[in-house]
Amino acid sequence: MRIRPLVAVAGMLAFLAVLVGCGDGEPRDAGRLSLVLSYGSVSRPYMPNMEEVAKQVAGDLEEAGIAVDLRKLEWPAYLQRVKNGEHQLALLGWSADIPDVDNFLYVLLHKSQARPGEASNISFYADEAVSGWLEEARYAADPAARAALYRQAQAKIFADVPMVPLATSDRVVAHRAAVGPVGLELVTHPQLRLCAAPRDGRIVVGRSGDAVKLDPAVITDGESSFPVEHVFDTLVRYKPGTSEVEPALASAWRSNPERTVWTFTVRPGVLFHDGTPCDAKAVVNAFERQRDPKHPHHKGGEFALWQDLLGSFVERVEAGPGEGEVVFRCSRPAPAFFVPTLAVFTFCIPSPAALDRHGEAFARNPVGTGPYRFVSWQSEVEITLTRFDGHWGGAPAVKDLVFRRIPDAGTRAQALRSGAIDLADNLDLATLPQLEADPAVRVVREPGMHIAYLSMNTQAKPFDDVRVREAVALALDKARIVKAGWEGQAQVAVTPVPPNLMAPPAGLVDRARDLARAKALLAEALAR
Amino acid sequence: MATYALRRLLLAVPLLLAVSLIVFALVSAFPGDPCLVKLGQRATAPALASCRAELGLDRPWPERYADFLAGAVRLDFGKDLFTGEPVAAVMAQKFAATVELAAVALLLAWLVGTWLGTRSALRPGGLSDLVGQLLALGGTSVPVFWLGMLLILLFGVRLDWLPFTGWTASEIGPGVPYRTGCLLAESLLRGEWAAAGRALQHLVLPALALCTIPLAVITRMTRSAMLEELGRDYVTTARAKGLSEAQVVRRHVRRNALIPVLTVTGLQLGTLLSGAVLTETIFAWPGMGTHLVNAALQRNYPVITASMLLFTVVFTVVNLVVDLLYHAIDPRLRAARPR
Repeated sequence: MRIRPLVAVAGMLAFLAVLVGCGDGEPRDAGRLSLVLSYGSVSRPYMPNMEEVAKQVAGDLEEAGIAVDLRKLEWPAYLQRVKNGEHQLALLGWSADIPDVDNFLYVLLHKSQARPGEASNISFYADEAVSGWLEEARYAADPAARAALYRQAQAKIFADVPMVPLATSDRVVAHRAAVGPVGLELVTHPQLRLCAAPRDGRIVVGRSGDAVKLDPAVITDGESSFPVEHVFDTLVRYKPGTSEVEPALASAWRSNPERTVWTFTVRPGVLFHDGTPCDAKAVVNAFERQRDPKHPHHKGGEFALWQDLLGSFVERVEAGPGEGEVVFRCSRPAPAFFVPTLAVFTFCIPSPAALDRHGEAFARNPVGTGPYRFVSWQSEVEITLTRFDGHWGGAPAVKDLVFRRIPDAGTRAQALRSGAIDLADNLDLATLPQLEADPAVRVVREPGMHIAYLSMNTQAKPFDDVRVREAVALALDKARIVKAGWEGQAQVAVTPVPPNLMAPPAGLVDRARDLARAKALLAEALAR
Repeated sequence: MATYALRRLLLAVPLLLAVSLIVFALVSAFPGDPCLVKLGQRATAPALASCRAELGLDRPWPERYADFLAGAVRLDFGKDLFTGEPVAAVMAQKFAATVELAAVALLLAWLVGTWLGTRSALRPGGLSDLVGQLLALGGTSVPVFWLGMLLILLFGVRLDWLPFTGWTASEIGPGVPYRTGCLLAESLLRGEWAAAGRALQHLVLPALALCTIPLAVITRMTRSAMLEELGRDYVTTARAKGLSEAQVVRRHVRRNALIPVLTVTGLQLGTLLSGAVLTETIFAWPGMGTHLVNAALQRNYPVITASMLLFTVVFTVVNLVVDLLYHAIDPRLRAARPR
């Protein structure tokens, strides 16, 4: 009788152990190239069905005479493995923080991002020339010069094949027709303040997970940033549907010719939801809190995105010379994408008074200047916001926003059809035809800011040989992989940059599948 | 009886210690940690290091385990590594939602199962026997996620009779200051009849999906136990005494047949109270099942360990209650003093 709980525990542990999996085996056949392809047991916006993609890739490689061992790992274990460089072949992808080429090429292929243990360049590609061009393009102010550098880098990367770009998946949102048109944004969530014709004054958003926290500076996930983008404002924001920024809490900005001192004028008269003014001091507080370890609201271990996005060049943020001005002092000329970076949710402006009042509990009691103010949050159930009538941009038409967790994608789709929710994202691609056939539902679809790729660990055998890497690229039938792995809801990728950000350079034509040449290259490489 | 119960409960203490130690040690040994999940693909070494220091993950696990235990004896299981919320308070909410769903599902399964099982046993080969057999077979073999989706498609979308998501305070009883996760029980206690009605509506589909397995098990067990008892000598004696068939069944057979049924019901209750991952996922039910699965995928150590401790307590208590119920039903056990 008393043994039962132990059996339950043992069963649970055995289950977890299976999830975690075990290490790579040795290649099994000496005469034939035998590889391990790792992938995670997750669904990501850039690759909704990793398992299917892995199977397709493995099938293609088998046809080229390469034996492939599929190794499925649970997400944290998988991330650790690829970041440490313990893989041979791995599937991964990237979704943009900001709509800039740098955010793809630098993050995924610069040599500084290839340190084992913390790599985001998991191919460990360390080409000096490419890294040099990417560094130069990062800080070049002239758009034409930047584009030329990126074209150069793309061509070299294509020839070196550190990874095989597979697909750029679509962004998809489905909503009740009664909500009115919903626009898709490139890197942020749909801006629900723009919705015009709500049913009974509220929009219920169904999504797969709950927010982690509602403090913009500490969050890193999309489920948290969706409500945060509605409670808070940033200094600048994207013009709806574009990658261009427009004034938000900052009404104007300028820099010195060296691009090291940036002055922003804070929009006058803006109030936080708690009635306190959003002035230069509040803006300085938002940034210094993340930068300065001595700031009373700084907390070690948080603010990871500050380090990623601004930490490498912003030295200090201070109240500026003129009334209502804020100055960013940089240790080097700011990168070309500095101003759009300020539109990222991380740099939302919180109420300093509310931070003082709530301390760490601010993350559950957010106070900003945004079009909606926070009402309530039931953990793992729903978050409710209501219209802020004093918003500087005018009060939105929709009165209440509810962010509700509905973990199963199939249920989310049916809830949308039944009218229980008004908008859903992260949908199962297989349910889209059914939703599209429903007259009460609209499916909005746009090319995404994602890239999904097959990474080859260039620091380890056999992928230290470019011929083997090229053979892998030649063996893949990308069109078929995209059809199977994305149900066709994606475009074949030629370069690691989504085409809506930068089209592949002229003259760069993707490799067509060529098994004979792949086999020849492999034979040549293995004969050495 | 009281000392017996107390002894059983005390025996749970070493069990809890063992469970917490095993879970904590094993979960800590898995590759990947909460900071990797939090910071994702771009996590840099300094960011990972300061995140680990902040969460105390840079210390060896035995040290962290000792801290966990020190808090656990005061029912303080620390903070969720991701949300910073107190683990115990959130778990209480989730467990309440699980209890409410499990209670309704089990009640349904018990009422229908014992009735159907009894009828099948009294008329083997009859219509109710056929229905019972079908239900029992279907209940154990139809996957819950499939059945759940069918229920949603039919009653939720096509007929539009019943809600299948939205077990939330704002949906069930807008304006009611709920303090627990038991929305139905609290609505009833507060006299919010409209809210209670809505809560019942929300419970129907998930409870139907969840009750299939216990219903199948209870029906089959009732049927076989009744058949076995019906063939015994004391039944012949009772009939010879001139008791009506109804009296024989109600007074003698059912009482004896109840004991094995109670055992399996207890087991089912323990399972239901540990959270039903599939049903909860399909019906967006904010219960323990999805809570624990999320925690496991995030490596949320305190939540995983605390949940496993809760399940250990649930099984211990359910088993104890079942044992005590044996004594209430069976006079022979009452006569023999429980050790």
